[in-house]
Amino acid sequence: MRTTNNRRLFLQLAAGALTVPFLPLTGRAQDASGKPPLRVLTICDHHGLTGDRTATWTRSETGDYALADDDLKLALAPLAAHKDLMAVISGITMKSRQVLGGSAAHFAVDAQALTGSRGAGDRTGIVHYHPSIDVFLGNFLNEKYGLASPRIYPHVKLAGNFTYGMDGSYINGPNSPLAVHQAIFGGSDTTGLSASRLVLEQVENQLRTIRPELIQANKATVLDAYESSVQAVAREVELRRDLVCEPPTYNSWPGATSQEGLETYFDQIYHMFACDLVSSVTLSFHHQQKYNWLIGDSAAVDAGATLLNLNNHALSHRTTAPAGPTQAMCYRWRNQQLANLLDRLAVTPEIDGSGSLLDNTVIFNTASMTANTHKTDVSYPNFIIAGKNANLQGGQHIDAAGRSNNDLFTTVAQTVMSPTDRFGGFTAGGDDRGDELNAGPIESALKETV
Amino acid sequence: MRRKNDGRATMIQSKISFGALALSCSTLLAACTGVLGGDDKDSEGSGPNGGKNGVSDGTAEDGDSPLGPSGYPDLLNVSGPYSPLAQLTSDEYVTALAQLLDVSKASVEQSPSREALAPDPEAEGLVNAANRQRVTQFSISGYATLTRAIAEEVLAGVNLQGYLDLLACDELGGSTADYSPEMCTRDYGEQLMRRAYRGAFNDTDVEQLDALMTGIDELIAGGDFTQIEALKRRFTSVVELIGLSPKFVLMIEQGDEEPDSEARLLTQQEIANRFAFLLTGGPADEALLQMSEGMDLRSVEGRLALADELLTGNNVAGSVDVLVRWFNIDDRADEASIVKLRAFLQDWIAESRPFSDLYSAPFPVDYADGTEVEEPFGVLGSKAVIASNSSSPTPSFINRGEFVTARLLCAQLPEDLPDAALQEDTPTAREVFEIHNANPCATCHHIFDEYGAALQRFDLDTNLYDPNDDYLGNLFELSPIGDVSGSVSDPAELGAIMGASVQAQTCMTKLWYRYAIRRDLLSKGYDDDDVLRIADEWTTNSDTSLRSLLRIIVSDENFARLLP
Repeated sequence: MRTTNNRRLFLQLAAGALTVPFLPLTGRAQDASGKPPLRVLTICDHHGLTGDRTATWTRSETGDYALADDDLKLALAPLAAHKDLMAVISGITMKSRQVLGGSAAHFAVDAQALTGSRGAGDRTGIVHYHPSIDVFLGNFLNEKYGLASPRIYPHVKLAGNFTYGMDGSYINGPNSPLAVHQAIFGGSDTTGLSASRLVLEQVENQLRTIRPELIQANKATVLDAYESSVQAVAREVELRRDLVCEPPTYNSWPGATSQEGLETYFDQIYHMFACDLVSSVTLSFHHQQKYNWLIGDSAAVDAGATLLNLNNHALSHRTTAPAGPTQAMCYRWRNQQLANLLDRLAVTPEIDGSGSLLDNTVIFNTASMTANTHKTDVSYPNFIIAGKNANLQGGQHIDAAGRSNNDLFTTVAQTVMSPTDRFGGFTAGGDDRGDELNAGPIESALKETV
Repeated sequence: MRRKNDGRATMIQSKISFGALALSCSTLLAACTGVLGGDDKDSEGSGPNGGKNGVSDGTAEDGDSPLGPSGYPDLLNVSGPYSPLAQLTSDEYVTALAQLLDVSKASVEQSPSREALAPDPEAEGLVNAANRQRVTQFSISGYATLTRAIAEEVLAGVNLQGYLDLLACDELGGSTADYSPEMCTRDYGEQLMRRAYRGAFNDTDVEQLDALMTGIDELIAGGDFTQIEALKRRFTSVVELIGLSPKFVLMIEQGDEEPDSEARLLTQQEIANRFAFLLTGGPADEALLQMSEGMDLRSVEGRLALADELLTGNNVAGSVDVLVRWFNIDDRADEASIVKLRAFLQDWIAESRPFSDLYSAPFPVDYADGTEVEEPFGVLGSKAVIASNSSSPTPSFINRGEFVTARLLCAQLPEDLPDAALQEDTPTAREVFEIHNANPCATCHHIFDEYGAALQRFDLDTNLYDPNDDYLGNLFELSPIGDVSGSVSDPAELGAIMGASVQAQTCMTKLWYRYAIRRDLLSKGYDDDDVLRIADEWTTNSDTSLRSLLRIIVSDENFARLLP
């Protein structure tokens, strides 16, 4: 429970060691059970990684083994410093689509990528009956703290995407650095936040007033969503009001798909975590994201990644070199940003001194298609990175051949101590075929089964 | 609207093909949720629990919903009539806010905080389908951010006297000596609320306004604010309250007094607002309300009279916006090409040109040699349309073909696409085109590749036209879609066939009818019958202009009715 004395000093990251005093006050870190304030970042790429991944991902995708630095190839190499916290999981296929059917088109497989279920509808809109894993985790983690759980999507026009709320409805998230800033950090002064809180209170009153006046049942459902949204924002406002946490500032607002834009997202995520504004964030990338700023990069040249003028969608339709190395270079760049984020989290203390932010952070990196677009019976790249207070056995490669994407989601859920033993498996009509897809968590990835 | 006896949408037997949509529709009907617009007790199918739909009436007082195996509430546990509650799209919200604060829409659009509005869920070019809309935490946050920002921009640099003039306090207070700026702010706020709530303002709103003013005053009293700062805080808070109010955000329509009536007609003001949103993209302003006062909008004659007043040259910008969105125009199109497209559409609508002109009238096409040549391509000649529906360097005939077939002709792709992969690297578009002619690619690609190939002469990167560029061949056999078929070699031939087709005209009917009643085809209580009925009337009319279609739509009983 937050108190008016619950202040967090926002820590300016200096080069090297950081020694800024903080007040050992109650905060997210301390709930009644004393459990750590775990948080999760889900990163989802659309297109996977094509070709022979022994040069671009890990030295081998078969067998379990401990990770050595040089086991992490082109795409994963930037994360070597954190390999002890990392489980690279190979062999997962999009089994939910194989069993439940559905289109192999991007929009449909995207929908299955984080839900493990089949949606109903077409390319302009998918309907689901089960939340996607990131929302599920956000709800689990948020239920104690009531914080925001944004999903950052640069691809505005891509309908039928893969993030679905607790009621199965598609979630649109902020889709540019500016939108993220406004949605998450608010940017308002304390008086403004207090005034907003008063406004929200009256909006809640209004909702309660108009409800009896409306004659149709499903309007009550809409009002429920409205009311819960207002309440969620009101909680957010209250929490922000109590935080001493300067929102990050930027000289300009870059485009969502530019190099600066993507870098800004990672910076914003750091600030969201550091300011305790979120428990769960999802980051995905434009379906046709290009990384052409890497043209001429020495690692790209050495790897023979000569197709950096193409967007990821175009790359994914090619099966032979240099498509694979080129995709891997894109992954590599993103993982460099992720490594930077992990480094910053590692030197930022939790509010109660229980350790660093990284100790309580889980990163789940996945894809929505396998190598060679539209193939869902081929394993696709996944890894989980988790700090020491999370429930992950790091430092290993896990051969999960034969396991489903549903089992992968269950594993991620258990990593943040959610007592989940199955996830997804719903048909387009909402029937539960989870028994055909769920075998439980991948136990070798966990310290313990929750 | 006549409900089917069993409440389910049915496959329509008609000469017009809507493909596999009916299968999708009936599948969805079995699993409709409250968010999507209610469910039908009679529909089959089971929820995540394996139970039947329609267990409760979905009200908050209904008790706990059954939990699914995931531990989360049964999402299908909602029943009741259709008529999902619509909300303003982000564009409509901006228009309404600008109207309310008497600022230009452009100024609100250009505000950096415009980005705070959550993007609208889009389906087949529609962004106002009520069954897909949902107010979320980000919606609320976005509304608050934008209204605060615009209110602050309105007041930027304003001193006390300027503030009093802005609110016309002299008029509000009747020049009474003891009429304070604080009282003026409160009264101005009430005035704004009355306008903003579209007829739904009542005494409870007054109480809430006063409660807010009291709270703000207490907050201000605890701080160090000058009088003008305090007044601005009051003003901003009132605008924020309005901007977050469900009476502003939601399209609350209650219709007439008889709750049991199936023929629940909307009120005069509700119909006037429907007109306004349909034709101008925003709520009815004072001018429209006054214009409609002498017309009984609950009668067909009244609605036609208002339609004839509104469907004039100066009022078609809203309709142009609808088509621009339907054509997927995005930032891949340069400003000049968008201006050209808008001008073409403005003329097509305002001058009541025939439907066929949309795809075959002369259009100033941008040639690769830098010239501009009038070609009989209609919108198929628009660089904005081509650019927004291309995807360099992926062979753009695929994207363009999908756009023409799925969007402009309402064709449906098979639901279950097979796993597909290119076996070899295929560096040329021609090779891709040929590979697509073989299975398994042909299953889908034969539906649309040839349509896109007809647009091959628009360069993949520049989207400029080169009449000599036949890299895919010179004659393409169109896969039949409704009455659209034949062999074409260029956009002119494709446009001529499309412009003369019932399929294309019916597809446009689908767009506008759904836009008018704010539903998409996946919502209950609405099916192809209504679209076909209206399309039939339009296609057999001697006047095939968009104006004619819109007159038919507004005269339709569903336009003035609240579904039961």
